[in-house]
Amino acid sequence: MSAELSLRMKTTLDEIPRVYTALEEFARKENWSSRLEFQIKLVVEEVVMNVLNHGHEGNGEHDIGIELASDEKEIGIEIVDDGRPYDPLTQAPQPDTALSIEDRPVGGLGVYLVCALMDEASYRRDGGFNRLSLVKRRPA
Amino acid sequence: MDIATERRDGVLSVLVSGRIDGSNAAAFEEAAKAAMEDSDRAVVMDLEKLSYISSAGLRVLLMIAKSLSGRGAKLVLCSLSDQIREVVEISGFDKIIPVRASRADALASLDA
Repeated sequence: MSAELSLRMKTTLDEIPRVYTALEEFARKENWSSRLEFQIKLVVEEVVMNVLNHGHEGNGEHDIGIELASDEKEIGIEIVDDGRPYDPLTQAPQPDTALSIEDRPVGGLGVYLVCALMDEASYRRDGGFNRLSLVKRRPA
Repeated sequence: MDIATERRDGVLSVLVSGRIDGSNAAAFEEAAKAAMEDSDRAVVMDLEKLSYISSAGLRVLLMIAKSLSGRGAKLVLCSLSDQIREVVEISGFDKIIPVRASRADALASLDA
């Protein structure tokens, strides 16, 4: 059995708690482990925060679409925005996790965490939209 | 997100509860900084009641660690859930910020 969740949010910070609530409800219905729920919330937030911080010129409000599909094998996530073309998988800087506390720059961890926590990640630009697709396989 | 603080022998313990995400990381940073005093020789962040943290919160922890380190003090994290420990380790923060199992362990590690 597969279940789907479709969310739409405005590009403002105060939308984030509502997205969490919807994800938490979906996680309960789909019997996700608390670890899986944590990881899915985190990757959705990281991608959404990137769009909020870097996606658009000026202060206008835009929409972000978040689609999830969950079955017993895997969770698929697609996040769609109409911001400037941006492939986080190749364009985001990679943090150097071996640096000392003095030399370690603050920030730049979001996409790194997304790639580390997900099993698959792909990006495409499609008719004025950024589409980031992620897959998390569930343990057998 | 809420914090509760306690100070003993120049060590500030901060119990953080709830979640630290992109929408409240700035409020967490402000609350933590307001609780800290220049005379603190260490800050223990007790994450036992923290249910969630994203990179926005990790960023604040790193900033606090850096500012403490800059004046010869230190940050110690304790009581991390498995999920939070996992993201702290992926970020490499466990190599630059000491992580202890419990607050008692953290405080004992700071005894001169």
